[in-house]
Amino acid sequence: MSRIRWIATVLLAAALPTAANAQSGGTITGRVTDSRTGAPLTDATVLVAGTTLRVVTNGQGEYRIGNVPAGSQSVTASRIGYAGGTQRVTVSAGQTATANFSLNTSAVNLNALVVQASGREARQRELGNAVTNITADQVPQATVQNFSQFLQGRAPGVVVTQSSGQLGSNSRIRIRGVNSLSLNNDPLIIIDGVRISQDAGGGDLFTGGQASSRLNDLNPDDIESVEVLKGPAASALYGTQAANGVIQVTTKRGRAGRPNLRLYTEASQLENTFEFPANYLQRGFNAAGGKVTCDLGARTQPATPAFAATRCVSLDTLYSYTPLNSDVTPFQTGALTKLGGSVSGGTETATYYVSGENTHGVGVQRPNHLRRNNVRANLAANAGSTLRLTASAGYTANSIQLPQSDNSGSSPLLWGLRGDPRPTNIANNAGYGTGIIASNLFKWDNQEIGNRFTGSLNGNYRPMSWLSFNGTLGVDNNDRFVATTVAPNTVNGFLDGFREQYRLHNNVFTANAGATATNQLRSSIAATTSAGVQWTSTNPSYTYAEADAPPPGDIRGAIPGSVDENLGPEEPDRLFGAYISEQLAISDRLFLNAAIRGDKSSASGADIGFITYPSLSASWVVNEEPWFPSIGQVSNFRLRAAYGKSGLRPSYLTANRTYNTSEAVVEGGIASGFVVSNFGNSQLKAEITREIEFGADLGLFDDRVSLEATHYNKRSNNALVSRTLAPSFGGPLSQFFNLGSVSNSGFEVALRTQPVRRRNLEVNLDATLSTNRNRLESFGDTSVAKAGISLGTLQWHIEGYPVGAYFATAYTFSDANGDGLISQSEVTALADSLQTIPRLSRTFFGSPLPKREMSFNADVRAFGFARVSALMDYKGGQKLFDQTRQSRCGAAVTVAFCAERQVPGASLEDQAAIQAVLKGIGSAGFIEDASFWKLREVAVTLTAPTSVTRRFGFREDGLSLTLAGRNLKTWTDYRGFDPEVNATGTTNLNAAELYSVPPARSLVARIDVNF
Amino acid sequence: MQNRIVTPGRSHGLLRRRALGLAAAAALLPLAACNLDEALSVKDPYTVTPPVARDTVNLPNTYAGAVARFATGISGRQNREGGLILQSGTLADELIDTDGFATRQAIDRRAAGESNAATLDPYTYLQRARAEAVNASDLFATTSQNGSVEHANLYNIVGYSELLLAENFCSGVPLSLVDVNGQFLPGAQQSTSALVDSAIVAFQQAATMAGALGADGAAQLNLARVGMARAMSFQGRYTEAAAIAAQVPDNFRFFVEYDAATQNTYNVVFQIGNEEKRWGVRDNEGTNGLVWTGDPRTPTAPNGTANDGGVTGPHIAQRKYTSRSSDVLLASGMEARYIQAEAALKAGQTGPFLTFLNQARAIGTPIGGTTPTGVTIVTLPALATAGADATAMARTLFSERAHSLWLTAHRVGDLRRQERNFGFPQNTIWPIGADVRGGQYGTDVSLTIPQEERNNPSFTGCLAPPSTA
Repeated sequence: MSRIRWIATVLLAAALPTAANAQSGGTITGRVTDSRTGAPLTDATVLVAGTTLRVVTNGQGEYRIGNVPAGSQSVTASRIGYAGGTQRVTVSAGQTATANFSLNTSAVNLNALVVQASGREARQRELGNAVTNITADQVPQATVQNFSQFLQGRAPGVVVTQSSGQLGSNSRIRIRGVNSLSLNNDPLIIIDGVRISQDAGGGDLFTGGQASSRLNDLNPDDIESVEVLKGPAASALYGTQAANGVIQVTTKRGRAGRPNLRLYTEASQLENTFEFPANYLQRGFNAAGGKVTCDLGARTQPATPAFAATRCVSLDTLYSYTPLNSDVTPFQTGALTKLGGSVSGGTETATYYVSGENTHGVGVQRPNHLRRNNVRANLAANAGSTLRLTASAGYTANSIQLPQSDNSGSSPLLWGLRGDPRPTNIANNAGYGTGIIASNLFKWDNQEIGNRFTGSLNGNYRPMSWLSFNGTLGVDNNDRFVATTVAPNTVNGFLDGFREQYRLHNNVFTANAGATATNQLRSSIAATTSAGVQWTSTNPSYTYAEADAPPPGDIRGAIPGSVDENLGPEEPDRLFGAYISEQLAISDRLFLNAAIRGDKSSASGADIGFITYPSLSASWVVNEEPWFPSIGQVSNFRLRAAYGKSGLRPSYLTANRTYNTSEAVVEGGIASGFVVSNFGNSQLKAEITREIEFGADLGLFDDRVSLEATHYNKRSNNALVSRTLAPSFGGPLSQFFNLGSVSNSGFEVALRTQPVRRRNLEVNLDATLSTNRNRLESFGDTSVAKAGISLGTLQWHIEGYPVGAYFATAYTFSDANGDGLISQSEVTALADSLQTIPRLSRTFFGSPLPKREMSFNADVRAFGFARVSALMDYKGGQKLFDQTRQSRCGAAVTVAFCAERQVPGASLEDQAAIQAVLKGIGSAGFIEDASFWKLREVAVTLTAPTSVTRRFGFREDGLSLTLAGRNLKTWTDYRGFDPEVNATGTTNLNAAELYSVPPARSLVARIDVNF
Repeated sequence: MQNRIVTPGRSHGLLRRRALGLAAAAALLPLAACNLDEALSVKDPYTVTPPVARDTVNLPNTYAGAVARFATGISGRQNREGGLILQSGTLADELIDTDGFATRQAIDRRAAGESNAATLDPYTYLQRARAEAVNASDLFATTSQNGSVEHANLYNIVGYSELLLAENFCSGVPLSLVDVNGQFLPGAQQSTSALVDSAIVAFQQAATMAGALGADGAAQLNLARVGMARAMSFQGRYTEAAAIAAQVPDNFRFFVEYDAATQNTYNVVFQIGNEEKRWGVRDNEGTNGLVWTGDPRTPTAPNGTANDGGVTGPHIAQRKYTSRSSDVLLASGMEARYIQAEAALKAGQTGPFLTFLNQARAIGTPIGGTTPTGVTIVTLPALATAGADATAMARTLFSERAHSLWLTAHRVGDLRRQERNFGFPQNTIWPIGADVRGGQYGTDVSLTIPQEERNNPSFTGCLAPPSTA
């Protein structure tokens, strides 16, 4: 350690005199406008090539760059949605030069800025990897209720899955497939330079599957842009935990100019559009004329004396009923209202953006409430021309109530779909199954109150035109109070009622410091060097308490009479990273990048030392080469390639043998006992993911058409796998090992077109396509490879197949006697030798991971006052276990009231699926194709004419009305509620539909006022 | 130097080289300020590390860990799968599943395979109790606590854990271990008889240790004696069993203790069975099941609608355990008399047989909550006769045992012994025929070792089918 201190001290001493050697220069000013309308372009970035100098235009499209080195300088202006412009100007010391830009709208985006891990903003053309940039003006705000929806369908390779239609519930985000078998596959989320936590550290609502979303604490109206770095090739500099990609969110800033007051209000109607199936019961007679149930089982029983009493020989009444469509239904028309506003503005030296939003809504399944208040303040100040300070602070207060659903034994949906449809049950229990008391449908109360503060302080110091320093301090502080309360005598099995609650706290502290220097090595070669360090500290803790018959009261307090068990810090974590990167820009068209990052962390307990993550990339804007032929329609052509490495590390103390405390009663008193909680594995290493990607970007027809194509191939080695241990070892049933490897490969294509670009009409048509081939390549251990690793009942990790794929026992069936009925004897499991995995007697039935994803986005803007946009979304090639249907059709006869089992005439395939379950063969018949198309969003925005807005003091486009809809239509062959839902919420890999609430359709009206 | 021409470009080059130094300095500056390893170290006061666990100062905690695991194995975990009392009672005729879980119903129906998740908890926690006790015992041996009462009890925990695994699970239970050094020691599969032998060895060690303690070790000595006698009865070694049981006084009772104060110490038979109504009582389950209601040793009470909503009829709750703090009788003088009675019957000594039975009746069955004040001892008048012939006497013996030792994880072992040692056909003593929820009873007489054990390379499945007594 002392050696490092010495080196640091010497380097610092060597550098400081240089820093003091300030340099005089000139100034460049100008204005950036839209070439078509002449309107000023705000938020356009203007930079001086070969330096670290860059600024953003103000509300009038104006900019000013000081301290520019004297001489001929190349100045570039760029803005999302516009083709960048470059001019060469001569700057004299102490003088001001002017460079105005008139930019054309464009589908090509090579000059979009991407924030680097060092804090430096690089143009996309400089990067060898694909980056998806989503800006606020691309997303009609009325169509997105939360951050997850902001992302959904907008970035190729990014799969956002809404696991439930409950308001406030979570979504799963996966980028370029899944890498890890046992560790979290969520991407790293960074807001304004600060790493945030998506989880408050254990303890979720007792809902049956769904959890509230931490990601959606962010108000989508506050988002300026989102950048998606899709894998290690792009995210290596972010180090450990970036293997699953990085999502960087930049919130809105104020801009110089008069104050801009923006107000909006939004009202949404939420509807459950799925028509739940009715419950059926077929009654009839046995041979003796006695009344019997005539379900499929009774109709197919052998004609032997043993079954004389129950075998159905003739049909009588078919009953049908569903309480879910009656007065006693848990479903309702939901509503969501938003009221928000912001004020922003400032001067050339200081800007501000302050916003607030109140969201209040009720979901489609009672009781489901969401109340959220967001406040944000973003400030920026320039101290002279060399120092810029920004501060961001966001505060969110949540109150969420989620209902029982999914795998909850107290779910109204479960018992509403398993209720006896006969009049007696309708009279006695409103048609619900006996597992629930219809008069007490909503007495199970899951509530969460959350407070969250996310803040950052950033300083950017440019002592010289070629040198800048960047530092960020940030904190993500999250407190949650989670409680489940059941009143006495209201829920089966909980006579006295109960409450259990968690008080959770999580704090993530981030500190970044870096420096960037540029050097014009030759007239055509510029070098940019960045180096920096990062420190992240995560500190979760929680307390659990429970009691019978709790008194009503605030869930944030202690429960009288309960035992509070402080379960303590769960996985405290410290991470230190240091990096250095070098870029060579040759003629500003060929860019070579090399970087390396080293990380050391407190996690795992094993001394895994510094883990290094190198990356290399190259970007070549080929069409700007002098020799490139002038091909009529080619306006842009870029080739790029990138390689990078990132990793996931085992979590806190995974490598160590540890003990928990477990209470025991010893001679009448409570004693604290030590019991083994983890056997540890001192050989553990980090899981390393390497990725290589190649791509090309093509601009055609004066940049009206752009095509980005990328192929990626990544492989995770030393995969950290939680392997089941034999119980006879006498400890925990799992232990982490580094086992084998997982690969993901695929293509991503983004096509952006602007077929019409006229003064009064602009049409943008975009399409994205991505594919993913996920495969567990090897376990690297023959005994594990032989056994496989199960992930629940149907999902397995098997070598040569996708991670967590479905494996079930395949069967055959035949209506041998031709009676139109499949009996149990007519369903036969395939011999083991004919199953895909003979040793498990199971066959591969597909993966819950989509293989293909497509989206189509249309955006039409006409006459300055009308905008229509629509988003279609496709996911294909995935399977989903329809456990709802299996549960309704394959359960004990007393609760199995599905049509396929009760109503004569079901297809032979459906009958066989039921009989296979009843016979104990398994669930293969209920694993279904879950490919779908969705009309995800449609929005129509009408803006008041300028004559009207000026009269009332609004800005030019200051009054608009948007009518929008979300989840409007689904096309799918999936037979369950919805192909996107997941009864296990956002767990790492498990996927099944089990009485899950399908995504709600929302119809939205929104008014925006801009002063 | 003054005459040297310095071009702007060279000047910039010099500055930039220094700037790179500055950038590197910025990167390393934090390192200069602190020791990285210290800065990265984190502490979790709620995680116990091996040095702490091995510290002799913490021997009471190490001991309590083994006690905790054994109590969980017997009773179960709050709101999870039940422990051995619930799952073995479900397999036999003591309890029925009343919450609609297919896995528990399959055990009830005597047709659970190795993938049945409901058997995992009792199997796992008995194994954990055994392993914690073995490692704790090794630690005790290196300290001044060597040979203490607690040390003896650790051997008894090993013995009872192995005996209960033998009585209730199919043949082939391995005894693996991860020792305190982290060494994984996969155990070979043990036949039922070998497993009982292993238990007897542990009981002998406990008895030797406790015997040396005099009066202080009396409880542990008697606990070991009952365990040994019970194990020998299971093997048919009745003469030896009776001789050992005879040394146990009538008033000896050893309870596994529970307390409502924390969820880890709940009597889960009451918590999940009665409060959540997930297990209930049915007379004459599957035709051959015994009648429980009405006998004061097996108190029951109507408890509203069961968790399954009434599919299995009204919920009839056990009332032997009346709170989350109710203790469970593990061994007693009463059981010792039953062991003597069984040996006497096996030897054809019908007079002593009846005497022992009636002694057990007079000693009485503990019913109720926490020992000692919360427990009521239910005694019954002496039987005038125990049956006309050996078969009838055996029926009487096992009925008496079933009622006196109800819900203490004795019943499966009793039924297996009744078949194996007394020749009762399986279908005359186990639940048979149609299940009220649909389907037929199967032929299991033991729980199947769960599939998770297949991760032990030495394990190949049950050595004998679970239908083997």
